[in-house]
Amino acid sequence: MSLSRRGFIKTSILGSAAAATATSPLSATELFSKVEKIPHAGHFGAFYAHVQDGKMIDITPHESDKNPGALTKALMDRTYSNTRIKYPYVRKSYLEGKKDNAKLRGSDTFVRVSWEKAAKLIADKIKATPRENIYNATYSGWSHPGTVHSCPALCGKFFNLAKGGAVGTYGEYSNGAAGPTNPGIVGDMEVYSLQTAHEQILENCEVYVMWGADLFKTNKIDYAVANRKNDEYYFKYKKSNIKFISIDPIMTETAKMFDAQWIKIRPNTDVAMMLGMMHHLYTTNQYDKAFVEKYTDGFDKFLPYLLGKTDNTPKTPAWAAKISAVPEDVIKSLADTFVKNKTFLAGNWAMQRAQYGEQADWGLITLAAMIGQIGTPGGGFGFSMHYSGGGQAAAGAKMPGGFAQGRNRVGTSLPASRISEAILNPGKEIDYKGNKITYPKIELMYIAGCNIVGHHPDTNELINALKTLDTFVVQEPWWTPTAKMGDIVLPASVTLERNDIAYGGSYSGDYIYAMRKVVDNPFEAKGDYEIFSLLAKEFGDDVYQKFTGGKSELEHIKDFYEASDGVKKKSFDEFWESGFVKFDPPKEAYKFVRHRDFRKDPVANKLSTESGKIQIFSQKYADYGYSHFKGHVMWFEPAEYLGSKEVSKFPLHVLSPHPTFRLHSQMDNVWIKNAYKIANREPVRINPKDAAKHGIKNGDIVEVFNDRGALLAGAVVTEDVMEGVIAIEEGAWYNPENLDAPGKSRCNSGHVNVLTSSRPSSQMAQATTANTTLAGIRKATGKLVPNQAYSLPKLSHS
Amino acid sequence: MRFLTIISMVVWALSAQAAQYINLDGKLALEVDNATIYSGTPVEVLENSDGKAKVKITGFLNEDGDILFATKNKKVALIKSSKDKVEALDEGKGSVTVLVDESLLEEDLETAWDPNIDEFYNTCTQCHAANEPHLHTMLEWDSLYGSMKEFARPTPEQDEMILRFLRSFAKDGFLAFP
Repeated sequence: MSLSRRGFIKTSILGSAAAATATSPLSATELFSKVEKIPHAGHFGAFYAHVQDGKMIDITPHESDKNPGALTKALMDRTYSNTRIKYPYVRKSYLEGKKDNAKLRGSDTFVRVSWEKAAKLIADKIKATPRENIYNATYSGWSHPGTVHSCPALCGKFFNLAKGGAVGTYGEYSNGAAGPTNPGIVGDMEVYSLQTAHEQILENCEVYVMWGADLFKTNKIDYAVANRKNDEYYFKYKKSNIKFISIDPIMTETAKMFDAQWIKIRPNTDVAMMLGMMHHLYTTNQYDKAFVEKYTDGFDKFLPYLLGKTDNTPKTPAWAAKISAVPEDVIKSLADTFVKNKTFLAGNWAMQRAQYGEQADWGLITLAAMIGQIGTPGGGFGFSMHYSGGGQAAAGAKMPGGFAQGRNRVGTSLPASRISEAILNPGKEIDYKGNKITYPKIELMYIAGCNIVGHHPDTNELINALKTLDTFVVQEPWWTPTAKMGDIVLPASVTLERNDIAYGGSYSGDYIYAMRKVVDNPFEAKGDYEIFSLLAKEFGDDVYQKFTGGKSELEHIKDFYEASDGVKKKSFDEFWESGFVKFDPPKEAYKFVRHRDFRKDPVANKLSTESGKIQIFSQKYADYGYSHFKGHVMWFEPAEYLGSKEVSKFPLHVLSPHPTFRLHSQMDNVWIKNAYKIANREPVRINPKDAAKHGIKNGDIVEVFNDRGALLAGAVVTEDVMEGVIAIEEGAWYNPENLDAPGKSRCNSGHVNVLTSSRPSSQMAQATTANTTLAGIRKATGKLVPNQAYSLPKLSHS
Repeated sequence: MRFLTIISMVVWALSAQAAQYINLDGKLALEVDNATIYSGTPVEVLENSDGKAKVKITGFLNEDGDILFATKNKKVALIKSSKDKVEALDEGKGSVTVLVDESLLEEDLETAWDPNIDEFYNTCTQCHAANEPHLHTMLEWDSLYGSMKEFARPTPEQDEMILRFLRSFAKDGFLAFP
């Protein structure tokens, strides 16, 4: 699409008028300074930034955002936040080379240095450190969806070129347990795979089970660019005749929206409930024998366990009721409902972020197999209906790629969740997915666009681990809790201060977006591409040339665009001018049913599993010989849950669900927090009975504590959380009450990972178990100091 | 001096007998001597003359007896030829001898597989770091790669190059990742 000059002027006038109306009724200034409308995009959606006199004055949504919200609007606040890192800094005692300076990490003064000095310091350290002792902790691409400034791709590429690699990360936090386990069961990770189309659910589903899935809340954001198109479908869901059931310790926003039947279940006991249902389906002869015979393998090896022949414990509904607190008759009745109706089981990711989390999806898949509706429209299971627009039809177009990291010649990586343990225990050997890993000695850690102090469990353990490093480099736009722990801190620009390219949504893949630069950075922040290019230069011309390819930011954007299907629709110049390219999904995409081909012909379309079928029993997994991960789904009692004896000391199960108003820790530093925080601290939801038991009233500042740490939070007394459970959404910025004692002091901000455990899921996946956490609660007493999570550290500019 | 000459001759003789690999510079397969030979295939060089090499390929035979595979599960093809060129061996194996240009031979395993290695790392490290191929079995790679490739949308040729690489160097593959 090209604009004539006349058209351009007309558009500008309309755009300006709209912006002026949106921002100020006094639009006379428009006569003197034009308002420019610049296309951009982020994990919260695509939008236009309105700029006047070099300053962003408003954000309005792009047509692809079907339910624009405050998160996008608040990007303006985040750009101009006081928490921005303005210059490169080095921690004072580190810069001075003082002995034991690492002990001051997190409480020292930062000294402003030049970019040249910071880059040289970093390069010299990297050159002097063997690559086996460098940890590239830049993890995942959640910082932003741009592919040119992608922190993980750039950081990986830089280390691979400059050093031949560095220690990396295996797996992930989101799906650490299910991701590696599901392929052996159903031949696919499932957690990121294309989901059955909403159209098929709406036409065919009779019972929709949200097993821990909070569809509305978590679909607000996308790993690519969010479109919130699911919200349009939710209107249709609401009007449909589908019966919604929510099995969850929390009455979610989605469950309320759909008037769902709420089944309150003790956290971490879902597998027991699933087994109870399976036992009922088997003993009442309701399970789908034909499906099990034709499409699964190893039911005969699972059955003795289900019936209690191997451990004298039949997994009856009564047995499951004792563990899960879901009444026996409810378990039976739900199983009856599921098997008698076209039932879709929408799983979630939270229940596998628990000890023995490998069992969660395996349990749901086995239950779905016994129900026998896998591969039917409106039936079966899905593990991603809550994520990145799951259920939307795929356009099938090739989206723009990004930088390849290349080969990392360091053979060792650390499973996500094991970072603290690895740093503190070099040389220790652990099991992992049938292999052995020996922890390397980590001396230098580099992290870009990633808040490890936010997402890693057991914050105090992590901080104490970070204090043992020789060097910690942090590249960030904001003074996050991780940046405050750094030795060398590099100021990165925000996406609005540079050009990039992105696509969305993750599943629909129906838009390519220009992330055009909106404003200049007023300080010394640089784009991530520029920062890594600068570092690459320190390693010689050859590395620099290979890193940059001799191309500018915009040239790379053009390359990535021209390698996509976008060019079939618009030339690069047209795309860049208009800001987007749209693709329409083909009609058949709206008919997609997960596993339909397998159901239609399980021989021709066999799964990539041992038998080509669903492994109810896996010999491969059994042969691993692990104590808490066997050949079929099993119930293992977690170390911390409401049925364990630790309840006498710590009576409440702590859940740390995805935040309602953030993307993990992103946007904790914007005005939105004023709408939901209590005295500037993260809310903790607590049931009225528990609140009464502990003498807590709505709005009280409370201390939540266990043996790993303590935090201060604001009490929200609500029936939306079942008795015995408290919920603190993850992502609040950590702030030690005593600023000189990070890692020891209680958190004044309500950062839940101060409480969570870093114990691994099992020998299999070594995944995070944040949702296996017990704690106590009491009303906070004494003088409370203000939360300083959003304050700057001590800075020296002399 | 004489001692060094002898040493040099021994080294030369050993290197001449070392396994060599078909290097097709990024092509997946090539028609040679009435057969289709696949990139990265290990060969035994029987003789060289006039820029040509007579090479022997040994592998597991398919049911039709015209394709040799690197492993028993028949996931990585080495060569496809007419049945009459195949010499049947024990344990379901067979061998084929063909004449190829010497320029197709590469002694260094990594160089021979470079195009596949590049294709994998170029395609699969844009969104995340890649696990090394020997960390997973062929079946696991089929599953993991199958889960993710919809995001990268490789062409059919890229897809085959990547899968061939992953399966060949997998935990139960037939080559050790260099």
